[in-house]
Amino acid sequence: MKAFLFWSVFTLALLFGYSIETKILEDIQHISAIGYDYVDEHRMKGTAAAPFYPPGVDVQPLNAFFTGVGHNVLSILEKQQIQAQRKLATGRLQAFLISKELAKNGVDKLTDPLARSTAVGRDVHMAVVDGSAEELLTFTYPNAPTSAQYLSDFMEKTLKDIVPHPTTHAFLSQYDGFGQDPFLPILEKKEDHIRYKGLALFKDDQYAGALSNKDSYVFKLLYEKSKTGTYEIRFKNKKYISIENIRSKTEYKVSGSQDNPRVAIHVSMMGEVRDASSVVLKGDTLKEVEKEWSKEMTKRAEKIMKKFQELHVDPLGIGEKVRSHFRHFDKEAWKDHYPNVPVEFHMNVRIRNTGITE
Amino acid sequence: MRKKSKQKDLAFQESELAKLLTACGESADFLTFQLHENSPFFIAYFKPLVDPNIVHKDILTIIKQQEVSSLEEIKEKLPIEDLSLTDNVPDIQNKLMTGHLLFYQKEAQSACLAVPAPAVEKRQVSTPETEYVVTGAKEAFVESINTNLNLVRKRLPTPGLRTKELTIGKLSKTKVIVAYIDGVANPENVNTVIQRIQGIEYDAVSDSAVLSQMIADNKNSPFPQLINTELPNHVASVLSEGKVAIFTDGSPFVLTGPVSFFTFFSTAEDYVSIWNIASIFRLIRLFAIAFSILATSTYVAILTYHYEMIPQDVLSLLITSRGTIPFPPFLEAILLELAIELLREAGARLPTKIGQTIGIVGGIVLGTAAVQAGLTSNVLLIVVATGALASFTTPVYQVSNAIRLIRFPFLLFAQLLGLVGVAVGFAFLTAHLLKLTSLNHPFLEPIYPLRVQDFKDSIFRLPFSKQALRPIQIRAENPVRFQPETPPKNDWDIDD
Repeated sequence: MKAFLFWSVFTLALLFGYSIETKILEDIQHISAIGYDYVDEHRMKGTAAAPFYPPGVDVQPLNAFFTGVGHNVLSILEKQQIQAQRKLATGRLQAFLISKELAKNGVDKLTDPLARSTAVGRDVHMAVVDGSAEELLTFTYPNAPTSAQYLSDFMEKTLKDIVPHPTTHAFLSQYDGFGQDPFLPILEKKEDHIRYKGLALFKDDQYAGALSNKDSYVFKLLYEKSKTGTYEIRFKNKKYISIENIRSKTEYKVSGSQDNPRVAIHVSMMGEVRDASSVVLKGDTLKEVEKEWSKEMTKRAEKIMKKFQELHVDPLGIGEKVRSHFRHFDKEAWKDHYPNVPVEFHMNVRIRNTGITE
Repeated sequence: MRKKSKQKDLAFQESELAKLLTACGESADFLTFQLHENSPFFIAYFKPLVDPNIVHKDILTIIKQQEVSSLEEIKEKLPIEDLSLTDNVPDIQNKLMTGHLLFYQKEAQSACLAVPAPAVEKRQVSTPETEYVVTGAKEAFVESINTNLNLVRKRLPTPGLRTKELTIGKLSKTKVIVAYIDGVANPENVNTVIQRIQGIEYDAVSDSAVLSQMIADNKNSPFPQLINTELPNHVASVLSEGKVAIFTDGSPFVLTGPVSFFTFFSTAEDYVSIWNIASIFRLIRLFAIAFSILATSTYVAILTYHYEMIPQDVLSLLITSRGTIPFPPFLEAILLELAIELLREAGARLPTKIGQTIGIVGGIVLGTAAVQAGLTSNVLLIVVATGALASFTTPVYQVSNAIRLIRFPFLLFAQLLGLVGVAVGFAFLTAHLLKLTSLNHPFLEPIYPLRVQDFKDSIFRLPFSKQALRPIQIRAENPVRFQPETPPKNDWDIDD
């Protein structure tokens, strides 16, 4: 009997002798998207989009936005909480926006809590907003029930093919690690739609410059292997040919010495002709197109690289590749080397003619 | 003359036999009468236990036509085998209770002749009720132990099939037969079974399921450690594997053992279908059981603690479906699970036709009404209903009962600790299964201890050509089923 009592008390204490806060799904207001704007040097304004789902069958979520001004993310969250009807939770955050003005002043204040928080996922999509993040978030778009839904869909489905991994995980690892600088997509609100504008380049935690929408396609090709993207080539006589990327691969080759490194980037790519109206593509012409395209791509890539070196940013991660090539690598010296490192591009292009027009 | 007979009567009344007859005479269905007037012979029997045809045609007609003067003479004249002349009263009592007719003389005190004339009431061999098979043999055991043995002997015509008869229960005197194939089954298993059965101290053992609980290794486990089956061909195949079968008189189920956890997922159907199809179905059953145990508790854990895990597209669906529900997920789940249990219990207790109606009324009408009234979410309804459905995929009825039971502690763990709680519950379950044995053989074999060779007929069912060896788990005396032929390497042609 004594033993039984002991074990019952022991078990009960084990089962009930603690308290974990329950977070029941429907009692929480889920922040889907959050954006930060610049107020002054020390303060920023946060806007949280936390759609409210009224009870019932077949109901549409209601738009709900909470704003607050504060010095850091958590004080802003407190201010947002005191307006919300339910407990705000960031566990299902989908999009994290930073206004361009704020980005120019450094995003360190935002990324630190992002890296520390266990409640925010690592696959939250990040972007820089050209203009006001609040305006982009609070606008009622005609093509989605809530702006948060539009934004998360847009970043998850559309940007996936254009920008390499625009997530917090990638951003934080690029930001913290050596030899690579972070980059984020730039969005803007144009009339009643969200639009992708280009790529924001960061120097440490500060916005340093941007790549145009067209250049960012080339950037993706240089950055990683991809299977997406359509490219337009200007052929002779101002005729245009559209080519779809089937698969591409990049390879970085480092040579030379540590004080005088040389980098060669090899891109091999297989393309498929999608639109070649009024151009007869036969064996020879196809070769010509390949050549033309390879030339154009090389030119573009060199232009982009020049920009990177002028801005002292390294979004391609060349520093990391060079570091792994040499033993006892001098990280400090690399920073001075980088703008002058010669980077060569080798574009190996193959184009396939498809369709029933032979 | 009268005085003399009175003296005889007095002497007789003091004998042991008379005491027995008086005790039996307290029952209304006990008959005792003089053969005919002035005859020295008396007849006694229990009316429901004897076959009136035998009594009238084969015994009374013969005896009444001829003059008989002694019990020996009756014995010679009766055209019935296995007559016994005895004066051992306990023996006589046994005979009386098993459908014998008793001839006795008051002069001869306790000596009497027992004539067997048992009435055998039995059900016809019919189709299985619980282990339904689509293809394959459709004979099932009945309540008569002799018929059951006949069904198995027919399938294993070998003198190697040995039987040991035991009687258990002080009151019920249940006949239990332990069957095994000599030279195949491990004698240790046979002895274990016999020892355990002999060790039973209970007055009435009414069924094989009762027997199974009495000889189980762990009497508190919800999982059966001997599996009962009503299919004779299943028993035959299990015996040929080297297992032991236990027949109980009065029960249409035969116990087989030693078994492992994965026996719960194998049906008689598996051996009839092609091996690859059978293997897939076994995996589906395994998955179904895991799903049945974990689905509701995982739902509760995620909705209560881990909303972060829910994909965005499902999130809004769950929020809107849960929006109007006044209960937390745990209460909602418990209510629904209880409703399903009610349906199952009600369906099981009612006759088949009413049971079906109850199922439809309960399942469809109540389910729809509960969702429309906003008492449960339709997502949980789907989860619970699928879980309930999945628990019936196992061919062993006791296992689906066990699963019904262990879902509730899992739910409690999920409510208390979230997914960690589910993991804790799973750890308890695994530890229990690891500790469990069946006739002293590990229950979770071939997973632990790992016996790769036994995968061939546990989780999977490989082709018969690969089943040359009997399962290691049973430790059969002769582990070789057949000598596999090495196929000749010939270069055949398609038109050969």
